[in-house]
Amino acid sequence: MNDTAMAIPTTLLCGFLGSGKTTRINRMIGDGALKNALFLVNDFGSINIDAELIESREDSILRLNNGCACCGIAGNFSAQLRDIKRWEQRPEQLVFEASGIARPRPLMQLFDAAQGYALNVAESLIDASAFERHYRDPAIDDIFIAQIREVTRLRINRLNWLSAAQRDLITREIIAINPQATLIFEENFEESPGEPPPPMPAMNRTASGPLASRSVTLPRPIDVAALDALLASTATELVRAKGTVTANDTARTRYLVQFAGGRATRVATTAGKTQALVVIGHQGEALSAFIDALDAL
Amino acid sequence: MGITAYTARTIHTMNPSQPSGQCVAVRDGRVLGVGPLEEIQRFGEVRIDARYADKILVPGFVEGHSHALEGSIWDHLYLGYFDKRDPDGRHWQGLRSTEAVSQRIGEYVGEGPQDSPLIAWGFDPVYFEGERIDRRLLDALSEDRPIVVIHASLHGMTVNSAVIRLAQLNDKTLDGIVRDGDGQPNGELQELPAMHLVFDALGFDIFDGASSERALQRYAQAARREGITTITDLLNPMSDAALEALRGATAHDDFPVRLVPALNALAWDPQAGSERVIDAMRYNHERLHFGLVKLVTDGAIQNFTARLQWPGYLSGPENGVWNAPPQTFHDMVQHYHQAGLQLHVHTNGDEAVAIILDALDEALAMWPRPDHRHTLQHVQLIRQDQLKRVARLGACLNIFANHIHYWGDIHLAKTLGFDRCQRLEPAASAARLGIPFGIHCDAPVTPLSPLFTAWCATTRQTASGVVLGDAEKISRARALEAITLGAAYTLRLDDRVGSLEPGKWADVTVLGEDPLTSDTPLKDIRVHDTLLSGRPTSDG
Repeated sequence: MNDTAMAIPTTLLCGFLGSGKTTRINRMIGDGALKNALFLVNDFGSINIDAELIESREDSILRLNNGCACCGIAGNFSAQLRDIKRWEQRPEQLVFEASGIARPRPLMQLFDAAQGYALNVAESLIDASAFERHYRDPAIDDIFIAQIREVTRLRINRLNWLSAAQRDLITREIIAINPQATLIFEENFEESPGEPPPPMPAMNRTASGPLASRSVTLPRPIDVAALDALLASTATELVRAKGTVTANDTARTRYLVQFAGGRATRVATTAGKTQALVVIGHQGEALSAFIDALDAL
Repeated sequence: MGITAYTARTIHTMNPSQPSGQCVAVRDGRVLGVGPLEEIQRFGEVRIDARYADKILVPGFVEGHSHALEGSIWDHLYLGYFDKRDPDGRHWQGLRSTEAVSQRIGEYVGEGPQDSPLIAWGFDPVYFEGERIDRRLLDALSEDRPIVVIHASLHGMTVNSAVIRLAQLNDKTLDGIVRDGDGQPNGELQELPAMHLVFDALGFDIFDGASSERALQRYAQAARREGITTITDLLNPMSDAALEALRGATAHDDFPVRLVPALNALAWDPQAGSERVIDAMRYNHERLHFGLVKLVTDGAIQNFTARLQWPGYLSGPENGVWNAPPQTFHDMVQHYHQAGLQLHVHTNGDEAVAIILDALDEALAMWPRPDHRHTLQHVQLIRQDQLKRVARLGACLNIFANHIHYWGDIHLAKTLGFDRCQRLEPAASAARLGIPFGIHCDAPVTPLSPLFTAWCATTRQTASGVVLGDAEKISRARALEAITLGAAYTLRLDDRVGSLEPGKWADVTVLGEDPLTSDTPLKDIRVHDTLLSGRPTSDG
């Protein structure tokens, strides 16, 4: 079998943490422009791929196990590349999301050289609103600059968060680092284009009135998904909530729940033994209804 | 169960209230007491076991940072610069010249199936500057059998022409393929993109099998031989297969050590990772302890990959590399701290220490948690101001004392220079500031042997005999504490192991000479046996 003919065209996506790689991947999946693509993703903790989108296409996602101390691309990367090309149904395209600290050049060379793969395009994403911060951070500036310098295509987003003068300055600085690259300015990167960083939900609150603090003790393990939904639906009435709960799953998992800034988080924990939530919110019917609903969980 | 009393020449307990004795009594696997035999007999009938009557007993050693890879990497041929002992107890001489390296490969190249590659490990090019171990040298040993010499850093390899042919390296354009004056690959490959071509062509992976039950058994045997009774596997994938192997190996009650795995956090989404550890804690038993989470931030100083603050490296590149964006480490520290788990964070360079102290500062301000015992691992280059922050934050240290011996000469001449070499592995400063600390070997990076590690911390001698940082030497007593109770404290196991006190597991290391009073260098004191839960492991 001719290996070159079978080479999987590969798109390399580079860019620092928060540069929009995940949004870009979701877009690529959502557009459906790639047929039977495999997305190889990295950087745990930053990924939130829309699972429904993936199920609706024939694409698939593989997560890399980023296990090595030094290069940010090792772990099981090599083994994954070996496996993928042996699949009975080989993907027609590979989109490789590099770690946020990966330098593009060695990866570009790898996909050029590796049996079974061919580099199609190498692109770095740049969050323009974070450019100055990353460019002047001595802990990461070398990596940040390499990500801009070494690729052939730069995709710049969140320019709309900046003033016209800042936009010009940053664009000039980027071109100075890599004069050859094709520049793509993302116009509609965010959900609502043209707006500055979204204000904290707390500032949009419809509720008002004096604050009240209530403590709710839950007598038995609860459906934590129902708690999540309840917190989400009452977001505008709540200022703060915090506590520990026990889930009604078989493992009786314990969670630390906290709600702040309009957002709820739930983290598995070993701490504490009781089941109680302290809730701070605006006095009124909505808060009372929330407390009743908590009691009913 | 009855009472067994082991008599000894001297027993050092690490219990300040009852520091020494000549008889340790055991019941139900626990220490009943250390004291005069007639006092112990008040508990009832005592069976006296005098097999260690002329020996020295100390608490079983605790190795707080090493890897089960030690149990599988010996499946490949050892080519390291320093002497080492394999899990079967066989002594392998260190190879100090290209002739020695070439001779050892020559001895083994004829063994095993000739169509499978000969894979060797441990070769450290930093000791062979100017002399090239290259394709030609390997070709002289075999033109046909693929030979792969993996470097000690695991970030490079040297291969022969057979491998170059199989992986078609000649036609590839890759910075990591080092070429000679004629543009031909000279056999040296640097970093993963180049190494991948070889892994791919030959179909192997040096990490294969490190999480298997067999590797864990061999790892435990190697540890037992060096007097260790509690050992970590400080970067475990905690996949289903890995958990099964951990539970399977430790289920045998003759498994000779207690095993403490730490989750490799970078391999998991944080939420899934914390749930994974909490779930695994249900399986904790006497010989298996989950609850630790490991983060690896930077690389290693001798590979020029640790993240250093100003003035950076003495020679070579300006700075090292992060293993993930610093923000990811920050967020993971917040997450696992909130989840109530204990973090062990690899921080070699002082810049890596700085970002983790910032992360801990924030986590503890937001979520105060007394006695968290988050532990900074290696901390080779930690500064005095950072040590004070560690003390203030209530964190622990596990100091890579062996490094001074193995790479001190390199650090003096190539990576750090004189002044920063004085502060490498600052155990005396940690002790002075009251920071709880252990000392470790990071096997297979350096050999398993707590007594050797203690010797390094007390003498601070490089391989060439230079003493680095006289002011950071610690006493033998302090070093013995660091390899027992100190390390146990960093693992949150000091209520169960680390000293010989009533109620603790009767884990004992039996020595030929007294580590506190003998003139014999600590590294040369012989480990005679160990006891786990009061049972001699040599009986098993």
